[in-house]
Amino acid sequence: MLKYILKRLILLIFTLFLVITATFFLMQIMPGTPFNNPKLTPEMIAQLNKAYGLDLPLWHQYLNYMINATHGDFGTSFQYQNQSVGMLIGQRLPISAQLGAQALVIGVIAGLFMGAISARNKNNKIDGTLGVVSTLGISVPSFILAIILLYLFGFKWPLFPVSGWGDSFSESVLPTIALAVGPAAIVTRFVRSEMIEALSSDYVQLARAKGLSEKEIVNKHAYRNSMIPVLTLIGPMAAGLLTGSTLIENIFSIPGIGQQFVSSIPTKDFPVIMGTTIVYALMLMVMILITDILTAIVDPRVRLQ
Amino acid sequence: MAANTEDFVIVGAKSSDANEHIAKPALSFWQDAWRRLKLNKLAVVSMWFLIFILGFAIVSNIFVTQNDANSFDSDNVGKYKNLPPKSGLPIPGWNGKIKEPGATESTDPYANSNVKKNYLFGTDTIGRSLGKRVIVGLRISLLVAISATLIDLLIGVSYGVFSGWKGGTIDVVMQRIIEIMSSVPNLIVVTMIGLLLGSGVTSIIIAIALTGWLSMARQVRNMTLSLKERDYVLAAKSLGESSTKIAIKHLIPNMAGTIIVQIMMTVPNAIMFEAVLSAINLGVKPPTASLGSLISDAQSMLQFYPYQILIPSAVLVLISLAFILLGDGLRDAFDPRASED
Repeated sequence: MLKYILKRLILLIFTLFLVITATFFLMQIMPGTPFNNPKLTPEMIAQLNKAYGLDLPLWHQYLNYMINATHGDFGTSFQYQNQSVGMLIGQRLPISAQLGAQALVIGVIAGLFMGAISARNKNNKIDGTLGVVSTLGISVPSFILAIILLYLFGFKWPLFPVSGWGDSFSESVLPTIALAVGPAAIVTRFVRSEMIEALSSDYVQLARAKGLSEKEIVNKHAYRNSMIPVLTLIGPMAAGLLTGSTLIENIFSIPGIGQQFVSSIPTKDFPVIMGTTIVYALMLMVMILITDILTAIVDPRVRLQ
Repeated sequence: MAANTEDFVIVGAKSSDANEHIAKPALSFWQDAWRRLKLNKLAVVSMWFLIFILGFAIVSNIFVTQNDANSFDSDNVGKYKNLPPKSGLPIPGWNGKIKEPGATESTDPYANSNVKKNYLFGTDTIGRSLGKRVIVGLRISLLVAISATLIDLLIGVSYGVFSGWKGGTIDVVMQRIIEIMSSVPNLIVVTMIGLLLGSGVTSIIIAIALTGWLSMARQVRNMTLSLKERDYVLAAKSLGESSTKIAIKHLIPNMAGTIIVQIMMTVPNAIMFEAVLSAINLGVKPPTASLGSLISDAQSMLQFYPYQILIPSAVLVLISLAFILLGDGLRDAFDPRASED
C-alpha cells in the first residue's frame, strides 16, 4: 500500500513538473506582451522587464521560476502591482474550494439517494421520472443551468441574491445547486445500474434465500456494494466541477480562482495564468490520487498496480 | 392390428435439408442493433431530431448567410434593438410584449417604435435578428463539434489500437502518457491552445480535439486487448495479413459499437467546450456567432431581455440531450445484455 502511494506521488510530482514546464514555455511563445500600455516609453518597458526578470535568458528565467515554485513563490502579478501570485491565489482558493466541496457533497448524496430509489422502482413511473431528470441533468451544462437559475430565482422571483460571496449563506445556494446537478445526475445513473446489477446477483439471492427482510437485503447488501464504485467517479466529476466553477464564479461574481483565471486571460497576466494552471492541475491530481487510494482501501478486490 | 411405419406420414420434416431450414432471416450485427434501437422511442426521436437539425443547418446556408446574421442597420439601431420574440399570435411571452427596464407594465416595443416586421425570436442589442444569429451559431457549433469529433476519432482510435496491439512496454508508456494528460484539467489545455493560436474556429476545433481523444483511446485500447486474442485475428495473422490491415479490417469493425457510443458522448462535450471558450473570451471572433458566444454575449442582458440568452441555451441543451439519448439507445442496442436487466 505504502509503496503504491509512494509510486503515485512520484508520478504526481513528475506530471506537475511537466505541466509547469509546458505552461512556462507556452507562455513564452504566446503572442502579445503584458506591457502594452501606449503611455509606456521603451525605457520604461525595459525597466519593467528588468524588474520582473524578463530580460534574462530563457533558461535562466525557467530555472528561476522552477526554483521559486518549489517554495510556493509563483512570481508577481503583472496586473495587480506588488501582489504576489501566491497571495492572490491563496486568498481566493478557499472560496473556490468551499464552493466545489459543497457542490460535490450535495451532488453525490442526492445522486446516491435518487439512484437507489430509481433502482428499487425499476421500470415504473418513479424510475422513469428520475431517468428523465438525470438525463436532463447531464445534458444541461452547469453554466447554462446557472443562468436559468439566476433568471428564475434571482430576477423573476428574487428569492436569492444574484451575486457575491461570504456575506450570507443564501449567496451560495444558487451557484452550489448549479454545480451540484451535474454530479447528482451522473451518480444517479451510475448507482441505478450498479444497484440493479447487485439486486440480481448471487449474494442478494443468498440473502433472500436465508430469509432476510427486503429492507435488510437492500440496505445491507445491495446498496453498500453499489456505493463503492461511485468513488471512482469522483475524479472525473472533480474535473467537471473545475471547468464549471470557473464559469459559475464569473456568472455569480464569486471572488474565487476561476474568476481570477478568466479575468487574467484578456490582460495576459502570465504569472497569474501559470499559477492558476498549476493549482488547478495539482488539485485535480490530488483528487484523483485520493479517490484511487480510497477505492483501494474500501474494495480489497482492486489490484494496486 | 399393429401399426406399421407406412401408416404414418412424417409431417414437416421431409428431408434433412428442411430440418436445417431457418424460417427467420439471419440478422447481421447491424440489423439486430437497428431492430433493438427502433424499440427505444426516445432514441429514435432523438435520431430524427438530429438528422433534421443537421439537414437544417446545411440547407440554411442557402437562406441565411453569415453576412445576413452579422449585418445591422446602423442608422436604426435604436428602433430595432432588443425587440422581444413575436409570433403574431396571442401567446403569452411570445406576443412581442416585454417589461422594459424600470417599467412595471409590459409594453409592445414593436408598436412603440413602429416596426412592421415580426421577429420570431426577437432581436439583439444592436437590432440583429436573433433567429438568424442562432441559425448561424448553430452551424458554427455543429461544425466545431463534428470536426473536433472526427479528429478525435482519428487520433483516439489509432492511438488506442496501436497501444493495445503492440502491448508490452510501448503500451505501458502510451498508457502513462494518457494518464498524465488526463490529470491536466481540460479547461487548462483548451485555454492554452486558445491563447496560443488566438481566437477563431480552427483553434477551437484543435483545442477540443486535443482534449477529447483520451477517453476514446482508453476504450479502444481496452477493446483491442481483448479482441486481439480472438481466433479470427489469429487466422488473419497466420494468413500473413499485415498489422495495419488486421486493425482496419478486423479490429475496428468489431469495436464499431463502442466507438459510436463514445462519439455520442464526445459531440455534446465539444459543443459545451465551445461555449466555455466563448465564455472566457477565447471563442469565435465577433461578429461571428456561435451558440456559446451568443450565450456569453447576452449574459449582461439576462435581467431585462432573458430571451436573448434562453433561446441559444435551449438550442444547445436540446442538441446535447438528443445526442445523449441517442447514445444511451445505441449503447443498449449494441449491448443487449445491458438492456435486459
